[in-house]
Amino acid sequence: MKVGIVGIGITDFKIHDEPFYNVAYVAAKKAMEDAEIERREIDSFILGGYDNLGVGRTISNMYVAPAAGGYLRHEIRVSEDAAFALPLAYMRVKSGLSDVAIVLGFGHSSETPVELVELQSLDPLFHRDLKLSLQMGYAMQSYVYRNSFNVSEEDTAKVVVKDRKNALKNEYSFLKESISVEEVINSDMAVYPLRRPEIAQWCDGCVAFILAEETTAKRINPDPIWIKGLGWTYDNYFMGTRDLSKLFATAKAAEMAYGMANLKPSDIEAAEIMDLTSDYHFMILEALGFAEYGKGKELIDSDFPVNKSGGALCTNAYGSTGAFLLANLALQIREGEIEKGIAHAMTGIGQNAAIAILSS
Amino acid sequence: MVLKFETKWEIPYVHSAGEHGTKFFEALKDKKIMGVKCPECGRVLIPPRAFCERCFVDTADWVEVSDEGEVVTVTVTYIKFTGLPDPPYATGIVKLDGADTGMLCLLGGIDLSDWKKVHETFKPGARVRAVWKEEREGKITDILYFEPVEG
Repeated sequence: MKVGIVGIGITDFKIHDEPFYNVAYVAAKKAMEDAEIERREIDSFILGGYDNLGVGRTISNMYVAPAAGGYLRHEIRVSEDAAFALPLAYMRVKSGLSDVAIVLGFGHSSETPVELVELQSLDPLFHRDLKLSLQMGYAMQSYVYRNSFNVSEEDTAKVVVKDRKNALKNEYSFLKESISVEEVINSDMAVYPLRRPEIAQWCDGCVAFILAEETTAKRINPDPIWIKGLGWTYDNYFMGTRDLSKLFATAKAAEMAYGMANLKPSDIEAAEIMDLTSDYHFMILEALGFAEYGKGKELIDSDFPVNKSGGALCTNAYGSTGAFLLANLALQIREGEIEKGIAHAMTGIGQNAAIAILSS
Repeated sequence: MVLKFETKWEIPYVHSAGEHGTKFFEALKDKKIMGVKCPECGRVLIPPRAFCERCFVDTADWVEVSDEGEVVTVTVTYIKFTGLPDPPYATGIVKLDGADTGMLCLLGGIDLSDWKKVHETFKPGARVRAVWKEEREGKITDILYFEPVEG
């Protein structure tokens, strides 16, 4: 039995004036309208996003469960980027416990000092006093990556230029400003070695998916988007214990997803990747098996479509970025542009990854 | 226009350092950095921990490592983050002599306003040593930062 995506709801990604649960409601409503189903037809409600400190309210499902249509029903929450909630929804359906499930991802950065919140995720005895911001963690990886593989500023600037160019054509993306390689290289140093345009900016936005088992899926939608492979992994939280030049969690999660789908990187026609920095763009492509380690930069001028959405560099809502990329990949399949694609999400300082392989 | 309300969480916790943390932090008072050795893979782990996550066995022997080592990576922030110190400040990972894992730390002792200077000084492999606080209290902040070792 296969599991398919039969409905997709994406809100605007911008700085919202409405609280996160009202934006989440819009995404859920759009997904149900897209699938042409009512909330009573859904029998699993899976929520994803950063709760508690992330939205400044404990037990965020008290707000998001009703927004998902889960009033007086049951819900499960994954306190991670909502892309990590997809496997849970898949398992509910695949096990036969559920016929139709909704995944609702909320991402709301504009009300939250995200760096201060993320600092609380560091160990309070050994690490928190070192005042490491999330972006400083990313930058420490960039420094190692650039030094290990001789990656130049021009190479990483090209990533920004390419993502920005793609975002201009994507109705859902947040940052819509074109930029040149020269402008990137001459922009302010923000978090060494990363310049300002090389680091994803925060915004708000929500995404919802309706999943259904094969027979129901075909009844709801003549062309479901099938979930072929899923993988997720967590690497060591102590950064000093990891080889920072590579993304092992992404590589392991990808291995799991390729194995489940019985596919290999050369079968994949497009990728949506969570490039929170320009360097991560290359590092992720390498970990996904599209290039050898250190050679991700060679893909920048290739025909292989990466981040047609504009990537995380142009749309990054704390908690729903991975779900946004996944939705964009699904839409490419629905539009008939590709048959098989891979979506990648990554959280923490690159140590957590979730992968989904989708097909027509 | 919608209304905006400012809210704040101030929640005091009392965290136990456990046996391993206690030994590590007590040693800092004497300017000593202690790691633990995994009996299977033989790696000396900093910060010390009760078990090796790779081998999934109890760690055994305590090993004193040097307060000097080499830079694995560095970053300096030039932008201000809410609730974090004013820029610029530098964090990095230093692999201390005698340890097999890197230690997250602050780096300093040079003018951080010029990122080119930071890059030249704290290149991967550059030698650095701990600058200790005069009045140590058994906290990670007893090491003020790591500075370059001249020559």
